[in-house]
Amino acid sequence: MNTRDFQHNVLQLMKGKEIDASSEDAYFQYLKSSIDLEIMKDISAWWRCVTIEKYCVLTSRLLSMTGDFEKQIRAFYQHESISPFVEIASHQFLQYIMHQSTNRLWISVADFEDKLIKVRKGDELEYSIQWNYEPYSVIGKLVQNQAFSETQLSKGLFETRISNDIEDYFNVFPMN
Amino acid sequence: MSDSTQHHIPSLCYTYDSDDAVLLERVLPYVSFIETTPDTIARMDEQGHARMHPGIISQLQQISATKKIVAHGVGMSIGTYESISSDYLFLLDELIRQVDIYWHSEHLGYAVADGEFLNVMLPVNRNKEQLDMICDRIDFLQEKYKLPFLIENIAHLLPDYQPEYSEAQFLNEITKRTGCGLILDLYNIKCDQYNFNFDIPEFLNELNLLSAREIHIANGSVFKGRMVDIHSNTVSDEVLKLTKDVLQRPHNIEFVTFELMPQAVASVGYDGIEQELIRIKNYLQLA
Repeated sequence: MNTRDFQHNVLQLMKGKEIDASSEDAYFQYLKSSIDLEIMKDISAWWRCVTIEKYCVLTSRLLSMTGDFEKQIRAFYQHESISPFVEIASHQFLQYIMHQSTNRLWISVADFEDKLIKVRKGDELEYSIQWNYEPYSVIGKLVQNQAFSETQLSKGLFETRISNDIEDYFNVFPMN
Repeated sequence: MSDSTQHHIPSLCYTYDSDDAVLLERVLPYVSFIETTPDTIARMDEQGHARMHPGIISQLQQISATKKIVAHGVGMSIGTYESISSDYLFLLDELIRQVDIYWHSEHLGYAVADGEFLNVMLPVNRNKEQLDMICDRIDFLQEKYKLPFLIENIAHLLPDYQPEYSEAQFLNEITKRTGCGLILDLYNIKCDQYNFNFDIPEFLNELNLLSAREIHIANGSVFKGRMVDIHSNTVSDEVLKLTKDVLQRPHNIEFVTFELMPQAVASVGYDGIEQELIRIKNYLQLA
């Protein structure tokens, strides 16, 4: 098998996809159900978790509280082509959570963190994020890495405005 | 690179891939070289492109007044069928333009397939097609940068696919054809020994050790029964002893690099890193 087909097949297996039966030889027949492949996928996911949690601290902590972080990382990798550069991959991950999730809290936290990273790096725009829970308590618990469940949070409609012009980069307004 | 043996005493090198002035202050008294990874210290600009971190570039410029700086890539993906990564070369261009780089290096593997990043580094298949591809690319890199280039053996996560060369034969062919140097990663071959019964004495006897200019040592952990190359801890006594054995053979090694990933700095600690550098330096009797 030539290099192009070999590397294509390895990628397919890593993403949990079928490989073309005509290009499948004994090596790939072995590999697709092997512990070697399973370990390689685990290591790949572990590296992603380690690198992304460093840059997406709030979102990774929120997802970790419900045991969803690694699951979301694996799903993200299966669906997207991800940058080798950690800051870009982290931005892609936050975008993935914002667009693929149906959990309003996850979306608000991911959106907030994505915009906060932008303005802290010098982005001059002002961003507005809507929340279904009181943001200060959510952000405070995440910063301090205190476990919580959604039932413990104060419900309500809130807006955070995020900008370089605001002290500590954001403030919170009730919407009703 | 010349194969003539020089009987100098190797120095010590440390990987520096984070914006951590305290760490630098603790490490610099013990090392003569600093190894940095362009893609690890890259940051995203406002347009979403990877660029070198200006703060780290500034630190490297200051360090280069007293220490030699080497660039060690992880994202060039020299073995990818389509091409080497143009994004990585862009970063390397930026680094070389701003910092005096002694040499640069990359792993003998691929981390990208069909344009997608794998997030693991896989070895190339040891066959004629890949040998020709790798050698052509090394020729290109040496011509482009006019700097010494080194290629590093990597740990295997998968069994070999129909190898036409032994590991040592393949490395020997690359260094012979291109004149490039070799980074001999001794922790990687320990992983291969643990995971795939790799024969280290046979490898070292067959390898043209005179082409090696740098040794990498590190430690990782055992995960699901496999020893994994993750640079997360201090070096094992076994790897240090292997390094000493290698250095007792005729060699051209200029320095030994202790590799520790930025995420492990907190767990090993500044004191732990300092003590480790002293331990390595004393045990191996480095300059």
